Amino acid sequence: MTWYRFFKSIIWVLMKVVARIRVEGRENIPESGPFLLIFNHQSFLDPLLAQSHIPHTVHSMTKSTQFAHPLFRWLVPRVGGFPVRRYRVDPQAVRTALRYLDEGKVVGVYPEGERSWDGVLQPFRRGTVRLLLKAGVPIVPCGLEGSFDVFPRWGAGVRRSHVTIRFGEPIHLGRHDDREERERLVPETEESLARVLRRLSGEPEEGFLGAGR
Amino acid sequence: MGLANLLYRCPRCGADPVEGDKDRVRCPACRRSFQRGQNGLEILESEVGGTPVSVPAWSLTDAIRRLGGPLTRATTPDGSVRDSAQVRFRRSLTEEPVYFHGRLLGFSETRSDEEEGELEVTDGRVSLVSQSGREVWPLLDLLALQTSSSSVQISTRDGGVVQFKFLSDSSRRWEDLLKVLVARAWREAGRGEILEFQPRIVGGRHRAGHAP
Repeated sequence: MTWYRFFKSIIWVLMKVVARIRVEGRENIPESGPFLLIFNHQSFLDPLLAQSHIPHTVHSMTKSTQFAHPLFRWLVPRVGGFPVRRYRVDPQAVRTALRYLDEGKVVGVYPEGERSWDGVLQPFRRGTVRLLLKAGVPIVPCGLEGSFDVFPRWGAGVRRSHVTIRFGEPIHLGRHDDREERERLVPETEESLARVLRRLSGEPEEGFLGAGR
Repeated sequence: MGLANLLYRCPRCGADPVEGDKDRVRCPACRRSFQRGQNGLEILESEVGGTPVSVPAWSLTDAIRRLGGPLTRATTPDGSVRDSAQVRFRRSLTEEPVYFHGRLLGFSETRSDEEEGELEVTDGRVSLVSQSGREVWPLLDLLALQTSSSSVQISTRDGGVVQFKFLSDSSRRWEDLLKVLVARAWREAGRGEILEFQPRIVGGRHRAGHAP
């Protein structure tokens, strides 16, 4: 048994304790990679909830500060995480993501880049959208609904609640190697992917709630 | 801080600050209270003696923004901006490669020990006073502004990254305040509207559905 499977089984049990979990759209997950998974980000628990319910090993971009503590520096790579520096453009994180995809693996990203304060989908990081356009692999959107109820960003504790993990049909953006073309496609790609994630996470599809934040 | 991290001032009457603990916030002026609902996206709002009404959390944060957000408290009678908070801070020192099975995965930063100090922001600059002295960063020299669990990080032109954890103030307030002031400084300097604050501050067109 790999470390990934070992920790996944422990986390699967823990997640069952903190949430009543329902998974929808499992048939939309391709049988094999390469593909990208994109998630909305409502809670600290999102990676644990999602990855414990996905059959593949998912390599997730993880903020570099998570690697500061020796224990986490050992643990995070074993559960599929690789560092991304959020305080600067990080070409190595992009290289690592593309390398995993070239090897036929599955990469998970949170396009918002950080958890939502009030549960509403936030604007995407432009660099992440560029990666999605560059990768040229299917993108499987995954909406998490209810994880904010279990442990909101401002919350002082976990409260057991219902969580739905909802996978959408794979999206094919094509491969865009030309930088200018990618740049031109960023706004409409963000808008269309945000619409899908909003639908999958139970938000109204049109218009940003709390617009102007 | 709990819920007061999110609702750092009263979304109805604008009073600032509010009294709060883990899952509840109470306004000392209008005496409304706000409490985590069964559904975390919903907040139970109660007037004195009234029945709690469930309202979406986003509508309350939006109401705070429309009331002026963190700027009301920070604006002095002469119209300038000044606010301060006690913080614990640490700096990024070096970057270390992270390898797994002999392959480079990326880089992570080593950080200094935590120190205490006072963070102050004005119209044009952010400064930190600590035992090591006073450091000043003009807002236009900030390269990135990012938030994590309960802290705000700034990247500065000299290559430093400093992370501030607020001891008795809302990190959300400071995230909002710094973003508003940096955006204003950019506008006044003719750099245009800010499109995103991390991984670096970038200007450009407005995003659909998102005011600057």
